[in-house]
Amino acid sequence: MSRILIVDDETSILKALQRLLRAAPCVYGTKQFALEVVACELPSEALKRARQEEFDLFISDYRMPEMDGIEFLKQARAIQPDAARLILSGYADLNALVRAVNEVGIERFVGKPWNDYELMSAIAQALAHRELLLENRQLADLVRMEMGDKTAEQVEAERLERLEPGITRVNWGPDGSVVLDDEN
Amino acid sequence: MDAFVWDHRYVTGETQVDNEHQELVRIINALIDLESKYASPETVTQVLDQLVNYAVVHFANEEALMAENQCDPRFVDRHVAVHRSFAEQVVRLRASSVDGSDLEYLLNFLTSWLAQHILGMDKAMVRQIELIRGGNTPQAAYDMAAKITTDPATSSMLDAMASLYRIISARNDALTELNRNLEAKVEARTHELAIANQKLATEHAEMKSLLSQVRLAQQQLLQSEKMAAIGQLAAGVAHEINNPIGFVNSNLGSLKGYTTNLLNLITAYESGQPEAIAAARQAADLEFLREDLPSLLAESQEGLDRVTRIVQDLKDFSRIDQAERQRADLNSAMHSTLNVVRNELKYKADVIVELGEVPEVDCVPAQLNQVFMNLLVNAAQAIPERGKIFVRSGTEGDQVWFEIEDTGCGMSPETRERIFEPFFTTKPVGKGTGLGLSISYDIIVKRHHGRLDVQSEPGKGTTFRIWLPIEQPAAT
Repeated sequence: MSRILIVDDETSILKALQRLLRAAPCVYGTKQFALEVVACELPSEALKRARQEEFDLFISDYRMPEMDGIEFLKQARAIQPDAARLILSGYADLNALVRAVNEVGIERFVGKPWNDYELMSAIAQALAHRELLLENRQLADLVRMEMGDKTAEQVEAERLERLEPGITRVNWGPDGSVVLDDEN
Repeated sequence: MDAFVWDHRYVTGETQVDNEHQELVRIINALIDLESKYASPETVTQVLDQLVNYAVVHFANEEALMAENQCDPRFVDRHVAVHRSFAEQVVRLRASSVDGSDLEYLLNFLTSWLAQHILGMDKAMVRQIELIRGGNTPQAAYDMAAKITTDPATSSMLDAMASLYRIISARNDALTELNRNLEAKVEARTHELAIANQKLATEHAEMKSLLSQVRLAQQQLLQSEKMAAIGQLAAGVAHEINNPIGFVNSNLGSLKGYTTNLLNLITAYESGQPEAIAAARQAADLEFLREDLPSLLAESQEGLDRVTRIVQDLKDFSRIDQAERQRADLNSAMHSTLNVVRNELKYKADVIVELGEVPEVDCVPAQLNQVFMNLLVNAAQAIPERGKIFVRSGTEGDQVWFEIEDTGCGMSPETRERIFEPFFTTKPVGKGTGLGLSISYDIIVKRHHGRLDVQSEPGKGTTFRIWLPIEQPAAT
């Protein structure tokens, strides 16, 4: 089951996307993805969900209150670096596009109004790409462990770091105490 | 002037010569008569021509007479020269002019000359001829005639007069020459003037065409500023239209899936096979459809309504069909402008609208919408993170006012000084043309005889207030 988080300040967009993702097949090559969709109207709310649950893909609008789509995806990447990112927007100038690619590393930019088939392909492709990357890394880690380049502890630490960025580092307070929660 | 009176003193004794002299006197008297009656120049010219022609014939006759009697060549040459000179004088005078004073002068000259010539030259000629006929040689006759003088005083006076006439003739020649030069000069000057005039006319036409080019450029500038503003709007409007179209379109796709499932279900029911019915129900997820279908339709309907409204607002804003001066409800114009620029504003500011009672105003609504839009977009752009924009209106006396206040970054007094200058902008390159406020000023102050007040404090915000007369002055 692939989990997708969608952010758009327009409720009707969220509903339409949920309908689409519920019914349409999400296929890449021979691989079919079963989807679970979480929809948020506000970026802040979406970030909160991202801290609590794991997602495979973030889809964001560009123009939103609170913060724009690029800012949101930047923060979402800090929380879950391995999730794929995609922007679905009715309008963005060149400047925004450049930032989206260079600063956030989005997988795709899909315009509104979108074509259902193309959107589904983009989602499937993003998911497949992500899966491939993860599998690649896992295999590479295995090989490195076998060759003795990495210890099992290092691999586990990296896994945990991906799961919860910062968990493997100790956050020292100024008085030598250990800070467990930095209000994030 | 007095007529030429013929008397015995003019009689030379040669009948033919005397007859011809009398005919000349007659023609001159006719001229004097014409002059006193202010006859037309054509008539005078005609009689003058007659005189000249007759004089030429008479001179020829006199010269023939001298030749016949073999007068002394010294005398003949002088006499002929005087004749030629006279003919030239008359012809020249006649050519110069025949109007009023000139004619009188000409006639004076003619009478005096004729009197002097007859008394002097012609009488001397006849005397010589008589002496030759009496058996003297021409030379002796010439010498004797010179000596025979009835009265020495008269003779020397005649000589003096002859030389006087020569001088006058020479002067006349000079004068005529001068006149001719003068005329040539005047003509040249006139020509120069005409050329200068033509040059001026050409320059004038060039200036005119330049002026119209400047006007055209100005108009194009206005138009391009309008286009730039519309381009800026297009971003927001595109977002606003693409959103509903996006979900309505996607909803239609989903609806297609739903109806296929429902039709399949109906087919299954028609077949009456329980397994088929159960499978079809499973596939259609009837419970979900019951819940989702109405909301799908309602949302799609709402989306289309939104598109319709945006298009209507855009139309109201641009007022394509209402570019003329008219009475317009500016509060509703402000509303439609607000709707159009809402997308520019909503992520930057809360818009607080406090419009008061405003009568219909004599104006060009499309132009005022452009001003409203400029001020609203400026207000939003002045706000760094998030702020408020107040939009107010009201009436005071025979004027209405509209106020747009923002809680943005404000302006320094130096910036405040220059905001209405064309091409002045504090926005980054490509974000503003620097024409928005200068055009707004032009529209409010020059075209609508209103006022545009600004209050600004750095860090606090800026307030623009537009004052417009309810009635425009008649001659605009």
